[in-house]
Amino acid sequence: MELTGSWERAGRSPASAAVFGLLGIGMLYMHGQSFCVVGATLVAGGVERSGDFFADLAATSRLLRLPVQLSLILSQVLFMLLPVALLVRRWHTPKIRNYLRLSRVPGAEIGLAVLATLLFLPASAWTSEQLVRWLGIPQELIAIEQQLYSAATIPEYLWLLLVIAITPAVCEEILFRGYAQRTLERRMGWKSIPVIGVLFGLYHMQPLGLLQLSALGFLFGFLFYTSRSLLPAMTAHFTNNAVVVTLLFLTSKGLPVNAGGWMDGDMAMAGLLFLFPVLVAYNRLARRRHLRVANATGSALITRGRADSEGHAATPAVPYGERTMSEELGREV
Amino acid sequence: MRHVPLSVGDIFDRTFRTFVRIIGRALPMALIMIVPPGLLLAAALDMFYTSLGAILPSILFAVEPDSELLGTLFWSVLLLSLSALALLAAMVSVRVGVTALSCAELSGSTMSWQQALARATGSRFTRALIQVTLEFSAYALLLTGGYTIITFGAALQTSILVLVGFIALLGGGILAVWWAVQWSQTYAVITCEDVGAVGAFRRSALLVQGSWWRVLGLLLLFGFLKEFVAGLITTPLSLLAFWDFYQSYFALMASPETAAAGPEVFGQMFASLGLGTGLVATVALLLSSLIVPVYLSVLYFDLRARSGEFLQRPRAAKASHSPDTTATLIVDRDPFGEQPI
Repeated sequence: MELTGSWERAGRSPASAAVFGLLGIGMLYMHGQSFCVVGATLVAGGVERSGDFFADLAATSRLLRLPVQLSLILSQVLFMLLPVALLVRRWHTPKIRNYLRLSRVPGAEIGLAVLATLLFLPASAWTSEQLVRWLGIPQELIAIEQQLYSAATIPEYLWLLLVIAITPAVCEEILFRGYAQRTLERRMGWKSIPVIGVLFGLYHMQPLGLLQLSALGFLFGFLFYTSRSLLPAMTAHFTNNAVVVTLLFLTSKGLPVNAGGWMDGDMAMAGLLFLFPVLVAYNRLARRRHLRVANATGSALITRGRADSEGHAATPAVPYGERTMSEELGREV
Repeated sequence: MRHVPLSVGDIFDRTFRTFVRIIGRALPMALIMIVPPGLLLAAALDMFYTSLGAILPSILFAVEPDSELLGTLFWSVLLLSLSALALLAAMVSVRVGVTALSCAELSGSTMSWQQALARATGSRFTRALIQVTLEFSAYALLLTGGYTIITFGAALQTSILVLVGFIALLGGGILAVWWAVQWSQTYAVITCEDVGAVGAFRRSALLVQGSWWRVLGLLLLFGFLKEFVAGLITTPLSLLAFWDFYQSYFALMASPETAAAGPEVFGQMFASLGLGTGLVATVALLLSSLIVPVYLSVLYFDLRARSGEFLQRPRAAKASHSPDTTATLIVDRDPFGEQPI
């Protein structure tokens, strides 16, 4: 892929592009989202105060539910997705999809990515529950927060899937994995996985969720790095968010699934134990695919320590060449 | 190292590269300088909030507070003021040290953290401290002038005086921004050119001349980015630092009847804030002291290149063959490039 953008032509570091891109877009998104939410709140108006703190809070939450959800979609698309596309085009290459690695992968890899996320979920939920318990957050507050994600009808459930699962899976993965990790990878190789993973956790500005979100960031980063495609990470992200929405929906339908308090330490540990073989299998599948493509095209895709397209010596840990699978296979999503 | 005027992208890139190269040396120096006064501030804040929390019930019930508690509060305020001053001095010192490291790096030479520490505590530090004191005194004078007129106007119930006060405040604010941009290069000037505190104002203003709007834009951009980075790091840190406070807060929320038990509950909550506030403030200051001087140093070299300080006319023998426009760019007037540190 020809990197003809202004950043590349000037011979600047990909690492600084990743850092400033992530910081700039992150800052834009945070402020943009705040403006959207404040605007939506002003339009929605207020509620009559009853004097009961939790009842007032719940009423406000119900009133602001739709405006907040609309603000979430709008800000993710306007202040995250769009700036990434513009940034890639201006700084790196006009081939945006290639740069972001929006390429197809076999169904087996997607399946393993989904399975890995499902196995990780118990540990994530268990950690959240422990932290909530230690801090003594009242159940009423948690219930009010869950109002944002719980659906009562099928259309509402589908709408929530769009707001909570599809939009973040696409927009956040394009920013964090597709742009930031992919750009940082050119300099740092596999080390970009933990760096972006931790930043992914920090960016959510949820101190209680930092540990779980960073671990999820590691998982998505690994899926992206190994497959060299954004699709598995996007699917995994979607799975993680969709499970929460689905569980809350099933709970509201009276089905015997309780979204809170359904995890124990043993289940979390078992999930993590099974997660590792799944990741190993995923890695093997992806590597085998890369080898097949390398043999078919005659290109030396698996070249450790090869310098990248700018002449920067790649770290020895960079497992594959600079070209994306979509370029090798000549197909894109 | 060649110095040419930089584009915004170049400034980003150079800032990041310089930061990565110096952070290993800047961090130990910053920790040595900032952690002791930071801990002192945390202890002072803890003492202050604890004594204030203990006095709170007396204030709410309008009862004469215990004189021993008042004495502790007085000492804690004194300790708090001293530790805050010590922390600000440490911040100035670290900024001088990090500026020295950045300037050395940008000049193509190297400097150890011990050398930077020596620079951060030497005569340059004294000059930077005087300069900062003068600069902030100027801002304080500008802003308090307007406030004073408004206060007098309100006291005398004279609308015209209040209006004049508002205009003075607005004008003072604009002038303060103008000066802040003009004097943005004082640290770099004092550290890299060995200029005195008063001379640094003139030299910085000279460098910024002609690029004022550009410097303002870049300072705002980098300022926002720095605040964002600080927010990312201090948000989770705040949870740990204020854990006890949050626990009490949620407990209070879960059982409002506890609040009715008396203001002692709020006093205890208040008392748990001190140590955390000190720690978070210290970390925020540490981050700021490590980041700000790096981009200011990059800007300093950019401004020097823009004002043609690195331009050297071709030698007389060759001058007849080449016009002035082909002048080569070399490092000039660069203390780090000319003499080894």
